[in-house]
Amino acid sequence: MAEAMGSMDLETLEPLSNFSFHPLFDREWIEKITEAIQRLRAKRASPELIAESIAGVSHLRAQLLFLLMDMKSARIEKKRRIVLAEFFHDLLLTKAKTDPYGFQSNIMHSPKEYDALMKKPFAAGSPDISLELARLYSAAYHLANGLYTDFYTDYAVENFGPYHIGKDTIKVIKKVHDLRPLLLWNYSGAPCTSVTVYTILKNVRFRCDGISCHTTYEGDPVLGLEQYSVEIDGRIIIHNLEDIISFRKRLERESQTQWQHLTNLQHEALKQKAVEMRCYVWKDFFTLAGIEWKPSAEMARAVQKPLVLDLWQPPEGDQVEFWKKVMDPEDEFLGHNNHNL
Amino acid sequence: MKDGCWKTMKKILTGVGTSQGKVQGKVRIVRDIVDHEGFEEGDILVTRLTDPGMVGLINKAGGIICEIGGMTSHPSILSRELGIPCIVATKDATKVLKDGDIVQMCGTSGEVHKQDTDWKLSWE
Repeated sequence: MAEAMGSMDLETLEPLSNFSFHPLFDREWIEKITEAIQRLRAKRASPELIAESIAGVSHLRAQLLFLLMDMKSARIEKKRRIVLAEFFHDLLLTKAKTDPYGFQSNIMHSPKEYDALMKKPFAAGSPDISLELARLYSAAYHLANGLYTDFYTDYAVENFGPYHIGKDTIKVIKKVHDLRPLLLWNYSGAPCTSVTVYTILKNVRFRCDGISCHTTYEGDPVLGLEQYSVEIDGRIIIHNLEDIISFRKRLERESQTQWQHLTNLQHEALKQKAVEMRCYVWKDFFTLAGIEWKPSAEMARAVQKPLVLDLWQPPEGDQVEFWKKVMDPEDEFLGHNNHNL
Repeated sequence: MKDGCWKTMKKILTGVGTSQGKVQGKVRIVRDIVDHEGFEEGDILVTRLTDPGMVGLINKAGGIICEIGGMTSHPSILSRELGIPCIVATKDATKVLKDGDIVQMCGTSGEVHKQDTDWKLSWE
């Protein structure tokens, strides 16, 4: 995760940076998470059931990262930091089937789940189809980014794989879901809720870091597409390219509209919406614990304060060590500017 | 693209190549939504940083050049998916390049070359 952070350009987080926003309600967030954990423990909820309430394994990693940072900015004592970190680390080990920290891959499905997922029709790939699938994914990805901002895109966008299925052949699943979140935005013009693209690639190496939308390829994924399948809201559409193009165009239009909605929000309204987003992506977790998923009144008040600018200031050059220390719950390192809090 | 093509061009910009491939195309500077009009398939999208409002352009672009960003920024990620070159962290691409410039970009070296008119005339 530190490597994922180290390769980011923090200037790119728009229209609001979580690095200056999350510290506004770090204590309130930790209180809400702690209350949920206490209730889940009192209910004796199994780790499997709790893990199920979190959208994806990459999402869990990303949100654990934010929590680790919050615990530093909120100056939570070491003992409590470790307890909270261990709770989510255990969930990560439950949810990830291999490579839990996402060094090379993102695998959430057991072999049995994977077999079930793959029992669907596939069609032969071609460079033209490959480009259209990439455009479809791009349209859905951008809509998700406008709905959830950079902080929580990981909730809606997840890449799974690589699943090695033969010599130089892999499967990769690209899933974008919850594209019509009416509880968060009370309107939606999106043509569908979820888009899943299944690809079988030859002579292509796929990898991602802890956050699975950070994909990289070696080889040519356009030329390397052997077979594919596409599911839109659970319906397979592989034999009609026009359908795929039509969905893509509608998703593009909605992405543009949603981005305008988001960026037209006044600064204070944007902050309120962003705190609501953070709670929303944990909705099923809070609901399982039996607590209201929406932001508490304390949270809504806390985010009215001015943004905490320049709190996390990684050094020029190699930033990995900086982020490792920030995210290590056993390390007392608070970042260079945390003393200003 | 043949390597020889680069010989008629002059390097004018360097950034970080985050999606491999070489392409030649017409520069389109995009600062806001009014700049979207007339963007054609294969144009080189040049902007400070792409955003979801530009998705229609991103999906048509032959390559993307941004002033900020890194390996895990959205333009880099999506360019790799689309199989088009991307260069980020160029600092001032929207100032150095002009609408309509014909450029060649390399997503591996991070270099942008522009047609060198003087050189071309003397060569002709």
